[in-house]
Amino acid sequence: MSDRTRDIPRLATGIDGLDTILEGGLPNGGVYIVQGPPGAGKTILANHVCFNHAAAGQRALYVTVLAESHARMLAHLRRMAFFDPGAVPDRVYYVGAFSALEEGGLEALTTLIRNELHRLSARLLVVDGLVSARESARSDREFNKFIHGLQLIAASVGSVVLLLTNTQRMAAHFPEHTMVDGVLHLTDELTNLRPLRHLQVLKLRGSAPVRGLHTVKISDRGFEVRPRLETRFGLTTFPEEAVAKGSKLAFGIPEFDAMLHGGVRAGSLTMLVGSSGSGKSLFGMQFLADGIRHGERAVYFGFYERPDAMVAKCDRVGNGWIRKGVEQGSAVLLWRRPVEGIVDELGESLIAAVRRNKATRLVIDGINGFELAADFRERMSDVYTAIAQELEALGVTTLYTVEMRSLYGPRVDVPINGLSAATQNIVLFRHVEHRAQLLRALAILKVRDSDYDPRVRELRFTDEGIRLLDTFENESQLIVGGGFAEPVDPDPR
Amino acid sequence: MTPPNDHTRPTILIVDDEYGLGEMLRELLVDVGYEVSLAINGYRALVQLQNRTFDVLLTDVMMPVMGGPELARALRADPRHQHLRILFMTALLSAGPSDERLYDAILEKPFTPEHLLATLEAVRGLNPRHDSSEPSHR
Repeated sequence: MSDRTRDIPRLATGIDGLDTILEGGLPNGGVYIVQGPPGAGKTILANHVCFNHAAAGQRALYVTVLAESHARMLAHLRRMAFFDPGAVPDRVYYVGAFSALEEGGLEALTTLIRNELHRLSARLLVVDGLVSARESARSDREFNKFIHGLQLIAASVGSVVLLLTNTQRMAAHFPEHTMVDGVLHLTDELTNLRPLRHLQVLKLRGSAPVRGLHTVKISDRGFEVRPRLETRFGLTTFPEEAVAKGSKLAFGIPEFDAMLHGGVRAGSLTMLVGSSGSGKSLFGMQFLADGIRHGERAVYFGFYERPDAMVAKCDRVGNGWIRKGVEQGSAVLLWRRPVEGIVDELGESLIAAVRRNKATRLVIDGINGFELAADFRERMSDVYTAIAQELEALGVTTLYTVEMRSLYGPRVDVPINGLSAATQNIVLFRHVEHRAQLLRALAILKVRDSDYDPRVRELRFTDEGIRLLDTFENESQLIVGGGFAEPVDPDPR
Repeated sequence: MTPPNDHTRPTILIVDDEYGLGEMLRELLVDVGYEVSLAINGYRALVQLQNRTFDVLLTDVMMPVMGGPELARALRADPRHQHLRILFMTALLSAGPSDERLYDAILEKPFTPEHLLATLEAVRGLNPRHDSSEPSHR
């Protein structure tokens, strides 16, 4: 928040994420339009703000003008966590104003609002159904006078006024937008068959809100906004030299640690890239295990493997430290379904998990899960960069796995944009054919600013742990599948 | 003040600020023999009650100018309306008046016509308020 805007007294909405976008809330004494199509969440947003206001000991007045009946609205609100029946009617008061509008027009509506705000000593006013007020105006001038009247009321007592309106019933041009102090625009659209809601601050006088689309989630918790991840994370660049000078963190696999001359640098980002089943995830878990063994704290954040299944898999390859870490509380394993997530929510929960657990080691298993949850794919380069920079700033040493489409063959492609520049180390995992056997192979492709052992080694999972063997000493072109034609991609998407 | 009515038709004053609900209830109650008046807030109801009495007051809780509990308090304090049966209707029972002396029954919105009529019959069948030593229909 800038110094200029910090001084403006604001009404905090109390809504997760929204106050971040609004630089702390809505400036007092202002009139704000909340617009959107039916179902976009205008009523839930306004009620959520009212009940948060009430929870802070303040009073809110909710005026409906030919909108949903109070009975139906309250029936819907009952399931929301923010809804406190004890706050009604003393701190949240609902009145219907359409009869007054019918009888005496906009002037009567203005009088009703002014008197009710005074009678109830309310500092927050919601007018639900602005479009009905507009339709009852005999001219644009009369409607603008009504808006101006609300501005005077709001300014005189320092109240915040929210005007809810349906964009589908509004004209293409909204002259009132020029008069009010802010416009919050809500949308509800299908993206790749998934319904996605967004919020955009079109205008906020005297403030510098976070611009652009932000994801909205409506659930039993009420109205939540996820500010675009790239506007919140990775804003301060961590000096690369700090990573280059960091201590080395080992994997606890003697042969591999020797290849890295001790391990990866603390705070660095390492890509484990390979085909399905090539051993990336278990290799990453071994990195966490060695940290746990030395008293460090670890987080596993995966999209495909449930925590209990991952712990059992680690047990089977002699990695009992993950189970111990979970039992001792030094390891946290999190599983998220990418198809139902929202990329900003996923990123936020990842960063929060690292912070909360004070993790020094992190494995993100299947980083393309973020991409599957993205509302707009073109964002992903910025999203990955923001996550990487935030993790770097937190000082956590991160391994992330990336799945290649080709099981084997000459092409080694990395279907992730935006992370390559931030990635210090790359380790390649492949299946290779060796004397009529399909074996797992591993090779280090890159270690920034450091020497490493470039050998291709066999990767073997045993009951006692992970071993690297020199099975391919006399062979060449292993990684590119020498002599083999590239098979047809089983999933040509 | 005019008498409530000729006792051939029960009288009811419906007080609600939500557009359409009062009209809908009026149609229903007229059909079953009530004489119905409407007011859009507690103050308008109080004005009507200066000039006449009703058998039943059916009122919302939250309304502009004057809410239902404030209206009921004024009427309970007025000896001219001691016979008046007061029914509150509310979408939230906990939002109803905490003072039980202010009402004879509370209807939770939404309610069915049958429930409304049964409740009206029940409160109208109560003993006169000033004679009643038993709890009223609550």
